[in-house]
Amino acid sequence: MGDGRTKLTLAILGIIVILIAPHLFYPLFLVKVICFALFACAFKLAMGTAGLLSFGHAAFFGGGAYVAAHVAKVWGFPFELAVLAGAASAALLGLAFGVISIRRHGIYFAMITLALAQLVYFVALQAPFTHSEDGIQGVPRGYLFGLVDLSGTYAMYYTSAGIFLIGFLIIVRIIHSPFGKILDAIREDPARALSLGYDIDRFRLLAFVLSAALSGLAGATKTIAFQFASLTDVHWATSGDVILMALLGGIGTTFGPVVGAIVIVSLDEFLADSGLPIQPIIGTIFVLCILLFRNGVVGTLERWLKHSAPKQAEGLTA
Amino acid sequence: MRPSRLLGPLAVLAALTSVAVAGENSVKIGVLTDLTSFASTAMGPGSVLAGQLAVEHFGGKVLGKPVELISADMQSKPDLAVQIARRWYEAENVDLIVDVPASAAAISIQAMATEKDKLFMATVAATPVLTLKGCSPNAVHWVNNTSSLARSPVSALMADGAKTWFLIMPDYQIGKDLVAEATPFIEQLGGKVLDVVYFPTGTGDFTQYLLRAQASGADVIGAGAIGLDLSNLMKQAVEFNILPSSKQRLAAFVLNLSDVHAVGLQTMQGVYVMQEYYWDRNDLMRAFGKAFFARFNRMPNFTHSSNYSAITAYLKTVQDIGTDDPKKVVARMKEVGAPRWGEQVKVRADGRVLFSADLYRVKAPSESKEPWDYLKPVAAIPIDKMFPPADPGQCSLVR
Amino acid sequence: MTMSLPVLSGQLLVGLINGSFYAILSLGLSIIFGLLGIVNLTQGAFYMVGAFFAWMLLQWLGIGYWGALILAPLGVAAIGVILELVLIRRIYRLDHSYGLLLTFGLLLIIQGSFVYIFGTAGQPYPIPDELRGGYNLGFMFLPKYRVWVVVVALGLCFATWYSIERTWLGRTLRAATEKPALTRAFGINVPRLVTVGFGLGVGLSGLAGVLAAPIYAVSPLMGADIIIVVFAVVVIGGMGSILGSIVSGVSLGLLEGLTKVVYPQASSSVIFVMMILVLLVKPTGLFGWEK
Repeated sequence: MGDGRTKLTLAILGIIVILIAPHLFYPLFLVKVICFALFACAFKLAMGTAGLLSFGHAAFFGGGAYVAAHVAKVWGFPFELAVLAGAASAALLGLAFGVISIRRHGIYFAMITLALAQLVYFVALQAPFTHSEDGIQGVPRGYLFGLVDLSGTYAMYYTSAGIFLIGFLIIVRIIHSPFGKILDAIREDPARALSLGYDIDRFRLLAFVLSAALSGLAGATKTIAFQFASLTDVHWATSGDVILMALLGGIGTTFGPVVGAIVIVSLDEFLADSGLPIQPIIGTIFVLCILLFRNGVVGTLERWLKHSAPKQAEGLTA
Repeated sequence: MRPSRLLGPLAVLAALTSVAVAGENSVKIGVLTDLTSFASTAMGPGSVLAGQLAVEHFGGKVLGKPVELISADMQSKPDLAVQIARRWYEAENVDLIVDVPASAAAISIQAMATEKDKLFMATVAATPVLTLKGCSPNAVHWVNNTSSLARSPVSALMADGAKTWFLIMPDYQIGKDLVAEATPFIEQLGGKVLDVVYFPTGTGDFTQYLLRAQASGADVIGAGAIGLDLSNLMKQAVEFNILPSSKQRLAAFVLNLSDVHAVGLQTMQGVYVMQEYYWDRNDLMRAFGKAFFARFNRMPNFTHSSNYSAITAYLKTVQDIGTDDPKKVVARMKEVGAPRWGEQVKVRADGRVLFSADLYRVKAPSESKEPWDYLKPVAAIPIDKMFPPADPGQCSLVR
Repeated sequence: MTMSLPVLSGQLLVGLINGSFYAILSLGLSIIFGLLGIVNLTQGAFYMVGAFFAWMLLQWLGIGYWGALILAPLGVAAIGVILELVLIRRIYRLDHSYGLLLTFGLLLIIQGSFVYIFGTAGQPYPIPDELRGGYNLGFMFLPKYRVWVVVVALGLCFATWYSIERTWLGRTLRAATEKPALTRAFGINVPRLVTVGFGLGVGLSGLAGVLAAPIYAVSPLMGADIIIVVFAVVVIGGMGSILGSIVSGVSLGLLEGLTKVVYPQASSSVIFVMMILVLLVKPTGLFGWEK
């Protein structure tokens, strides 16, 4: 999946971009991009690698966000513990979702995840600690490891970038590990994988839980950076957004979801002053993507660059 | 309206560079609203126009500096609103932000205004948190909040003999806030809440709730449904012969003129609602209404007018004290009051702007003489019946 | 919370009426989903477009309800056919998930454009004069229009079920989707049949939109909330089973009605609980079968 040296160059370029970006663009906007990029990559792990099309990933993103907000504000957790708490609770939620739905495949799986996410939304609406549409406000940013004051914009930005890099590296490691290869195999030909003796449900469940945990990590980071958590974080539109991002960028690629997140979040920001109808524009981009660039921006780019036989992202789900 | 649309993205791109503009060459006001999504009719482009009219009518300049008005679309996404607001306050020298339809965003942005020493005027959000736990010396709550929204129909209708209430409320914080405010007030005035039903927002069918309300025999059905929900509720109330009724009245807690326009008088007639602004109420309001209509082809909602009056008051106060320092502007308003539709209204220590309003009844089609002639005033609601006292336990600004 | 029997009867009756409405809505989805295997998320958007067409016909051309009942669904079907020919057709040979995603994108476009053009407040649309008024049942007033909707619902459901299960058209449609190559070998133009099927399914949603216009506010958002319910109905009833959709539509209306009595806040969510239960126990739905 790509030349090693190209990857290294790209990675170094990426790090340089991350370092200088806040001097070119508004930092809080970049933090949002970063968090959604991590979210999209986490989603890719579930869908692109394990073949699990989940329509309810907002439950993990938002669930992690609410938990992190609550423990930081009400229980006074320091930043790193709050963020970990968010990731952990999302993992638990992912486990619950997975245990219920992992035996189902394709569309059925997507439907169950959607229904479960709607139930999570309902709980978020009713639970007193979330304050419904007022949200959890005034979440303190706190200090990183008790040392770095995160109320400064740059500190928050670099911390988020750091979290993203850690999460991203974890995902890359998983994809290239034996575990990841097995997931690939399960996605492309489940019957064969089964016949080879793999407990496919177990593997998929693990991938799903990891994906949920990283999504929760993204949500938790975003919530502390923005200092509030709201119902939008658990709404199905957010689930739709992350699918859009991952697909737009290229679900079969490593960097694709990052690019997709950059595009979608940027569109919201850049078009905000224009008065243009943003939803139809995003919908159009999406449709074009599905019809013409099924491998996404990055995937199509990769293919053009390599001129090799197409490695289609065909079988999305089992 | 906006100049060339192409300039928008380019401008934003340029603006994103965090090189702050040194010095204050202008007074910049940002209308942060929902331009293209759910709240776009209630707020949206109308809010932007109201802001523009306020600036124009004031003369476009204050203290020798030009007044600049910008706007952005938060698309009903609170974190997008917070992101834009932060950029505006931090990097684009915006002095005042208005509108902000989502309460989660409003609370956040008010806190941000305090942190960045900027100004926020809550002109459409109704959450009471803004003058309680979230109160700020850098903000005023200009529009009604759930307290005044709940109390006004209650006080006016109960003064008219109504005793029992059946409440149909959205299963949202605003619904809970309305109930929390209305119930003790109703009991205080000697009445009783027979039952409360919370419906999930986006419900299409209210028939069952309406049937229960009818069966309860309550004098007033208090509906907290907003916008589309309210439209559906009214349509079905009429369809099932529950309204209009000689025995029961319906009071809407939150209603925009555009809702009446959307559903039509035939369906909405007889509904009681408090409006802090109605275009036909007095000369000043009429002048604004006509100016708004000339550019927008619709009469303004109270939310639109709220932006207009808030920005006007801001500019006048700045002119008055010779500075646009936010804390000083707010302090001044708290000290001598704020100009609002020809009156000087009191602004409390917690930021709550106090004003009186009228209770209206939606006209029957036969009573309407011209387009947008929708409401008939039936009772004046004095200030003391609109707002509960400030709460020092929740807001430290109140002594 | 006490409730007298008459009031309770009224509540349940309303639930049944709403259920018949869900049944109509799910018919279109059932045909497209069950027969063509396409997860068509635009179904809710076409429902909304149908209602808007009815309003436009009245507002701009002075054509009333009865004309709209015929013209609006045709208009919607026409759009559906165009979409199928130009866009949706291209993804048939791919994973079904792409259909879901493509129609999701289309939903954003359709709904977003309508919100942009018309705003969210809703347009007025009156109940036709012939159907005004109602019957006093003692425990409640039953509007004539609702009776009409139930009658239409039952009629449509029966007609659809009959034509899919009992007629040549239905059989051919089913054959075309299950064994397209074989069906083509018999000289049947399979792609055209699929297009027809898609148009039919979409047109049914448009018709439901016209039925809804007098009683629900005609707003660009009216499809968004209902689409998820309708999906749940079809999933629970069983993909590929028209009868399943009808039965589960009515049952879910009743279930929702009951929930509105005891715990209204959950009335939108109870359907998801049902959906999860069914998907766990019998993923092909109550009446469905494995394809």
